[in-house]
Amino acid sequence: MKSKLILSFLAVVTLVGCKKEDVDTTVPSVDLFTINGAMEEVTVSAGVAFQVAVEVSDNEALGQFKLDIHDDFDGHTHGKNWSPWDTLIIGNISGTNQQINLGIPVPSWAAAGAYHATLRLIDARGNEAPYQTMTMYITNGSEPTINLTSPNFSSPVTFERGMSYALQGAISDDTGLDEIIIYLEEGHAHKTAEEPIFEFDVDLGGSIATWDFETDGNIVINIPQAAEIGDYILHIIAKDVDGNYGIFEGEIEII
Amino acid sequence: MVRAVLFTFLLGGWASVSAQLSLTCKVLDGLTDEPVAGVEITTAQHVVYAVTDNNGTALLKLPPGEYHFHFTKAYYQTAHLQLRILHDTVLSIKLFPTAIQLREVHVEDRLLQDLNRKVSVDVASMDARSLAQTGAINFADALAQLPGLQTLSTGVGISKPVIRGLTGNRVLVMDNGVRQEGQQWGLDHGLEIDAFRVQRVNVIKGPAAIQYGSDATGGVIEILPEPVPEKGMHGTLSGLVNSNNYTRAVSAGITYRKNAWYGVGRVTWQRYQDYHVPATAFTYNGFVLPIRDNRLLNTGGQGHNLHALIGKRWLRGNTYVSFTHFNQLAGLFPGAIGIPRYNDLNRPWPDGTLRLPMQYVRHTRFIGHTNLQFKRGWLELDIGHQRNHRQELSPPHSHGYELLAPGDSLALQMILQTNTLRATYHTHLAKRVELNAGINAQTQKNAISGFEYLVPNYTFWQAGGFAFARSEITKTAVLSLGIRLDGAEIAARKHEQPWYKNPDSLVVRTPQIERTFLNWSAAGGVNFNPSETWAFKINYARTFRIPSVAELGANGVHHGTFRHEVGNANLNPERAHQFDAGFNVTLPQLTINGNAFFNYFNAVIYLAASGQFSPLPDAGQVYIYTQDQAIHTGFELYAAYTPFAQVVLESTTEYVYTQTIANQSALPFMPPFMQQLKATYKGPKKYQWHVGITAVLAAAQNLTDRNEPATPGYAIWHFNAGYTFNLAKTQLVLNLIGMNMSNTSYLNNMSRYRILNLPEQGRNIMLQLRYEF
Repeated sequence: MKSKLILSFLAVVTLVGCKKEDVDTTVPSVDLFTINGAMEEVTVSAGVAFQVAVEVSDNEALGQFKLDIHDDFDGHTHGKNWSPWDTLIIGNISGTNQQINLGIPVPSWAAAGAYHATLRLIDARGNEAPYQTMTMYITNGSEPTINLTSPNFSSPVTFERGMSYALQGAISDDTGLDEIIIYLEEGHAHKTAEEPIFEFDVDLGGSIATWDFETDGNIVINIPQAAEIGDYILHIIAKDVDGNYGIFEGEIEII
Repeated sequence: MVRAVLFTFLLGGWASVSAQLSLTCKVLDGLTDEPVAGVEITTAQHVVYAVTDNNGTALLKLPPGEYHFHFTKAYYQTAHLQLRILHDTVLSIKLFPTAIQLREVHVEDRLLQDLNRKVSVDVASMDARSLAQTGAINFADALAQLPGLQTLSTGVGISKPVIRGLTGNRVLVMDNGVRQEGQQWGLDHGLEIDAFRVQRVNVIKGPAAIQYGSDATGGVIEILPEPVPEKGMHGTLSGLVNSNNYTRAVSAGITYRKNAWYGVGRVTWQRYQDYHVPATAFTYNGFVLPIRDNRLLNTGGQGHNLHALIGKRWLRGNTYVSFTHFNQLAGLFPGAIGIPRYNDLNRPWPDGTLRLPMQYVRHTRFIGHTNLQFKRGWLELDIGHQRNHRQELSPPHSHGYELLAPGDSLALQMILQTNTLRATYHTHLAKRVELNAGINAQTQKNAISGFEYLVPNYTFWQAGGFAFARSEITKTAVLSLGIRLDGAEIAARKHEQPWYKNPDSLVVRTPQIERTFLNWSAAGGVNFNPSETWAFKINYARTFRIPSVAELGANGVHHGTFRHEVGNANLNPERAHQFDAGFNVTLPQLTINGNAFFNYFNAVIYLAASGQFSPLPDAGQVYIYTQDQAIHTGFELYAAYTPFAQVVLESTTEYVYTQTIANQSALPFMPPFMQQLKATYKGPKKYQWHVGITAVLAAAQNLTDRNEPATPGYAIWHFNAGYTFNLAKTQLVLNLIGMNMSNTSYLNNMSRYRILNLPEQGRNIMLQLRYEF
């Protein structure tokens, strides 16, 4: 018993004394991730396939990639004819450099709205690359139509600090509007963390088919004198009773 | 050290053996021969409790038998006495003042120090007052003050105790003689114990498997049984408020004793809101995400706890039954469940409302405890029943099925019922040979539901027996030897469920598991106490731990991580050789206590990256429970120095190093190198106030598991002040505590939110009040 103890203690000491093997802990990297050529956000149509292009590399040996697409809807509603769509693709990859090209069809019943496409990558040792996420907007023709007449985004829009701007136009849907969210915030693709300088949210409950920015919502955006100057995004999200989301994003420069 | 003079008078030889005898104790100051009032007289088994009056006298009624008495009072050295009482006895004891100046300001627990001189692993201790002084409403957080203890936290509401980096099933929590069973394998499963209820807790660092249970390889947190209360009605009323998350906690406890009967009751209520961090944003995976108003969304919580105990002292013992209920609802930061999304975090939520995701835990427990005094020893008997009801609530679309009833937010429910039996007999084989022998048995049944899956339904039983002997082989040396045998069986039901995309399909998530285990543990140690100044100890233990149900049969995405965790039904027990060594030096102005440990695991069980992705949506890599050889080593060093009366300078140093042999990485969630410096000024004795500041310095933690991020070091400082008012026979204690006073933004690698780069709680000023009557 005692000699066994001493032996195991010696064994431990020897193990500690051993020189560390060179074990790979370097994470692989995603060098390119595009959908239909876009890098941050993209709009695709239900019933049509989109193209994913990925380039990955690792110092020793690549392992697997995983592409996970699912909705970013607020809530859990299923319409009669439209449902949130999701898909998941796992692929084995080898070598130190790989290019992956996928054509992924969107089913014709996919509910319109914002989706996330998340790409994960690991090497053969299990080292994880930081995942990458792209925002995908799916349209199917049945989502609410957002028709903004003022400001007119066909040319660059500029708002002045200290001034007020009324939104004009209407949102319409053939099955009935459920909820409308409007906010104005700094930056692009959520790379900053500033709070929105304007927020609006209304529940309509599907009772009306057309909603006017001026007469129904009286939407007036006051730009605070203290607001930082720079590029802002006006987000308008309209949800219908069928679970389709109509989304509008417009760039506004605040001076 | 103990100078007891014993006078035995035979007050009539007819005293019957079964009748109660009287023991009159008179306690005198060893230097002045003056009577000493307020000396507590206890037996190890709490059968007897008395306090000397102004004449230094106390009268105890006892059945005949053998007793081990402790005589304790602050500023005096504790006296011990082993005594066989067969007749009415008058006993005169001399207590000697502690000549050490340190004691004047830093009243150390003499009982603990004496315990450490005969126990061969390191024991630390806290009582109700020192727990309260930490300002923590969470029991595990309060314990983290002790050297070598840390917590693994999920926000501020959920904490589990960590001893030298080891946690979960490797740390056994013994509450009133019954082991706490609450699915402790889960890293975000906090400890279900009301911090206000604990009167005294001993923490055994290092293996204590022999007496407590084979899985206690990291250590034991032993909440000691309630002492028999003093006569009459007494109580404490505690309240706490803080500035960081607007905690409001109230706890009221009463004790009552009339002759042989006694009762204890307690009610605790607490609420807290989202906590503040010194940041307005955090960067995760290249995205800057908002922290609105410096507050982490949905990190508030609420809870209430109940405790009731009724007991009776009788001729040959003490019996009590107790009921405890713990109830906690804790919000979880929505970014920690699945991928943190801008839209989830940038939403203004009404203050104080809890939303999904949440964790809801209810732990109910019944205990029956009995001490039986025999002529040659005493028997301790504990039976317990506990029901741990754990619910993880989250929005249904996280990673579940397609077809869920709308509004179904019960992601995971586990109801674990445990029955426990424990019997320990304490006796003396010879004059200087102490023997503890006992058995324990436990049965468990787990029932699951919810739309997510993690561990199966299972039943488990375990039974063990042990013998532990301790002998004073010389005046200065104590030898301890123990052996334990355990058998266990776990039976998990095969779990099948439809694949999330296809409701008609069936996929086996966990196979049928039937495993039996039979193994032994052994330990031996020596204490060498050459003088009052020096004490040394060394301990070796051969331990094994039966794999937990998660390690054998988990298959699911752990709520709160992205990992898909998969068990391995063929795992062997986790075996280890564990070495501990310590020293203590006590000089007039200086105390130094050092402990080092070296553990070699033949087969440590840990989650290893598989190199394969989970087929479940929104889940990352599959992690499989794997076995590997590993080294776990480190030390704690504590020093207290008193340069002048009233000033105490303390330093605590902690270090843990781990390395798995095949995988060549560290074990995850290991504490970094920590240095704590504390300076306290205590007012002269009669004023009863103190102020102190503490600096905490943590080195960067670069020894990490694969895919665990390295964490930079940090430096923060705390402040504390306290005042005690004596109002007639009652006492009011006020504590003002300031944590992270510089409002420093830092990361803690032992926080579940660290992976998101979320900073720890910012400045927090707490006002704590405790009224004892």
